[in-house]
Amino acid sequence: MAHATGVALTTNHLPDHSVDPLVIERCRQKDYEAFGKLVDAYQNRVFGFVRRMVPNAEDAAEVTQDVFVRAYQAFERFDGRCSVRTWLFRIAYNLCIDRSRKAGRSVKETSLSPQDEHDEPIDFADDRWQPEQVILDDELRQHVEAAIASMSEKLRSVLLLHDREDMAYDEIAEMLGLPLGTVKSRLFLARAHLQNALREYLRPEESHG
Amino acid sequence: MDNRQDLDARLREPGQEAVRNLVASLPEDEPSLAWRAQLNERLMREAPRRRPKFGWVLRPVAAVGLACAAYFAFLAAQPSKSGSLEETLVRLHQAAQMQDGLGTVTQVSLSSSKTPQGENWQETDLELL
Repeated sequence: MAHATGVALTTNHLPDHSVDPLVIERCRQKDYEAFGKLVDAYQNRVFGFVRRMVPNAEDAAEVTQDVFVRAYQAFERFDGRCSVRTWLFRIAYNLCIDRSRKAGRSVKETSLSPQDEHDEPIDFADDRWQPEQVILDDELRQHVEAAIASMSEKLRSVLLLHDREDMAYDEIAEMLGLPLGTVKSRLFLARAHLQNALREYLRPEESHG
Repeated sequence: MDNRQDLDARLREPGQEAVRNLVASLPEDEPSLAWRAQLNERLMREAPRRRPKFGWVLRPVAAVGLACAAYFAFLAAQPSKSGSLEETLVRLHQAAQMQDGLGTVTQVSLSSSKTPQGENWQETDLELL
């Protein structure tokens, strides 16, 4: 968890301690230049998250801006109990949900239906499923993105926060206001959803046969 | 407790880990420069106006200074009272000198309440000078 200075002890792609604590303090005083450095550090990650939560590209760009504007407006109330990264992503998540509700998108839950359990298990001996062997080419990437977009927001958010942003379970649980077990369950279901979607991609001869 | 352990174990399965690596390998997204410029403009509108650190002191001091400068400028524009006094004294002295020289009254003191009226003046009138 974060120290009062805003340094997080998570192993993430962009360590939270990359932002100087002095910058964070200046941001509390609405220092425009200091906040610009914060934007530099997090804009790509936040944009990537929002882009996958809000399907419309124009909306995603606007929502991402809203995240940083909202953060700038409220920074003096940032108390440092969580990391700056967690705080930003919490704002991003809330704004994405608001935008989805305004757009009238329905939230669909994906559960382990009986037919999924009867599917043949994926052959983990297949090199394509070995973690160190999977290479993300353009075609596979598009399938992965499409599979992520097809799952519910509840599953998608946990998947992106944990597997892409490398947030810890308890960090996600606190951010989303969920029990720890629920976070893990949703993560498992999200990955299973992705596995099923990519099963068809990896085994096209079976899906047609 | 068994369910939690089962779930933790299942999350560590090769298939689950493979999906995790796939998601982690997705390329990073970068917003456009135009997007950043627009964000900067929005943030600039939110930024507080820069004010002097001690503006609450400087502004009243500046106002008092301006007032004093205006007052002194007004005073400088007024005719000097000491100058008029000096001129009067000089005139009186000159008049006195002329009277001594000419023996006639050509000027009268400003404080004098009597003035010679043509030929109706008397010697006592000289004492009024």
